[in-house]
Amino acid sequence: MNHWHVFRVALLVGTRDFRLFWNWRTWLFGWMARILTSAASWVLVGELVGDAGRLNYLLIGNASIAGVGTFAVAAAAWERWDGTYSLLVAAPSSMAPAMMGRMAIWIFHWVASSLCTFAVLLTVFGWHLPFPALLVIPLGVTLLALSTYSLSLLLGAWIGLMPALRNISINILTTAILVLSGAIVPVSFWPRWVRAIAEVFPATHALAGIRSALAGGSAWLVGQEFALEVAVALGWLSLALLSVDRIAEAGRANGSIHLS
Amino acid sequence: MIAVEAVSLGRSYEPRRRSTPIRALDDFSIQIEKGEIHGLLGPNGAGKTTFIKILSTLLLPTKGSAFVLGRDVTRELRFVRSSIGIVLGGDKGLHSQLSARETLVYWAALYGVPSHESKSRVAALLERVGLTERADAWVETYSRGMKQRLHLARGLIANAPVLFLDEPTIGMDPLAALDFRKLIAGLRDEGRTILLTTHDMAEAEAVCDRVSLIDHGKLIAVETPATLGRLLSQFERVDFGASAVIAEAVRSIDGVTQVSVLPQPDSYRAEVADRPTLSAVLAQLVSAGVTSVRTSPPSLEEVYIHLIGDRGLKV
Repeated sequence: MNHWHVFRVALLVGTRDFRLFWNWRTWLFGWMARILTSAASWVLVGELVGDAGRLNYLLIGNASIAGVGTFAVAAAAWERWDGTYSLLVAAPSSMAPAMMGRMAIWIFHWVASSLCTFAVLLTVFGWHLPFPALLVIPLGVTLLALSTYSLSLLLGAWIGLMPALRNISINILTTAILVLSGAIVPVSFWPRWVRAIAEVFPATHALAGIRSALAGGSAWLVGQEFALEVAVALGWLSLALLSVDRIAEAGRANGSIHLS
Repeated sequence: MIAVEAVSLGRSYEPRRRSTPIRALDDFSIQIEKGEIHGLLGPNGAGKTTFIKILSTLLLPTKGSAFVLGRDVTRELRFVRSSIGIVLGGDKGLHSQLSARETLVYWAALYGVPSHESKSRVAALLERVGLTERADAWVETYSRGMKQRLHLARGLIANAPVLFLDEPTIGMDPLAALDFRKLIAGLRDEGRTILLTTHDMAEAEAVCDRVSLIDHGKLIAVETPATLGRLLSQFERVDFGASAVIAEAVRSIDGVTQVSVLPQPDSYRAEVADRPTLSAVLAQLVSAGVTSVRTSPPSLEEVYIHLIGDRGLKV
């Protein structure tokens, strides 16, 4: 089986999913307006506290994770609504490339949402960043999106089998990213066991790397954080790839795969 | 050669709030020859879909075994999945936001059709099912019949020798259903084995070489549609033209199971349980001076109702 070929054709399904949700007007004036309002609200809290450091902290945190984690997990449940989940399980190819392809479109959505949020908030709040440091933002945000995508893939494998858990899992994922990654509250604030979870959770290290770069940290430190984010992404991706077909196999035993 | 085989197949479910397990299939054994179109008939909840799910590798049996082309459906997944095509009925099973061409390219990739072959195979299938002209329109704009033809093309994308069709003509208008049956008959000529679940007796009679009647997870009978009728010859029926008084007299004969009114004026149908009763009914009609009398074997639908009983909506 040519997994890359499956991934590419499944990406088309995801692209059409995206088109069902948005056109450029609704994306810009609907989605981005909502994301910007949410992110700006947090930054204004920092402004109200009257501390420039807190304003910057909240701006970077909220812009980095703007929109991240939304929609991708739901794409797995859409296979159930379409009645295609059983056909995917019964196909001789692994389900993983098909799921990865359909969900991958949301990586672009997350990265675009985050970069737009950065652009608007930096302009509105008048924060001028040095040029080389600015280049770190797209890289960090992309890594953050990739690791979130990897975890979403694992969650999606379960949601394919138990679509009723779709909404709760998306809410848990997005809330956990907001709370654990250090977007609003520094990771050091949490007790040790929560910090341990944050260490292996998407976004934590990429966000730390972006913060470090924008604060003038050394390239070594930034690179270290980004390397850890890559490791987290690969870890979740490996787990997801190992699990996708096994989880579907569990559905064969308990009878939860319906023919249509 | 046997294409599909089940040996003492069983599948039970243990529902959360019930102490007794539900037996969706119970000691179910069957052999389907290569190149045969085999119909599975039964009421809702009879076990038809459970059987198809097991054969399609979507469900593990709790007892017994099942084979496709001699390979165990629980163990040899790769082979079995490459050898079968699944054709669903209804709107489900298609990505409505893709075109027919994109749909087939997508499934061709999942069935390992090399990308250089995919384009020509997709074009040929679209032509075969008559969707070439609308091949690039989104599926959501298709009629029910067009979606069903796309389902069939999807099931054929890997050129599978065994096809499972789950109520393929459900919801189709009669003309579209007729066209679809012609497509199915064409597949028989190619030597494919087809297992078809349906509620439509006319469909089973028209396209199936043999039919299996299933109820409560058990196999009740496996025969050709014509033989099933003969097996049930004790359920001979007599159509006659007479007054209501004569019809009432026929109804009172022992062994007459039912007398129903036919659409034509002063016309009735008597169903009898055995040959002696048939003779008694004919004697009664002749003595009453009735000249319009016709006996006939039951249709598959009547056989079905006699064997399974008129359970209405009960499952």
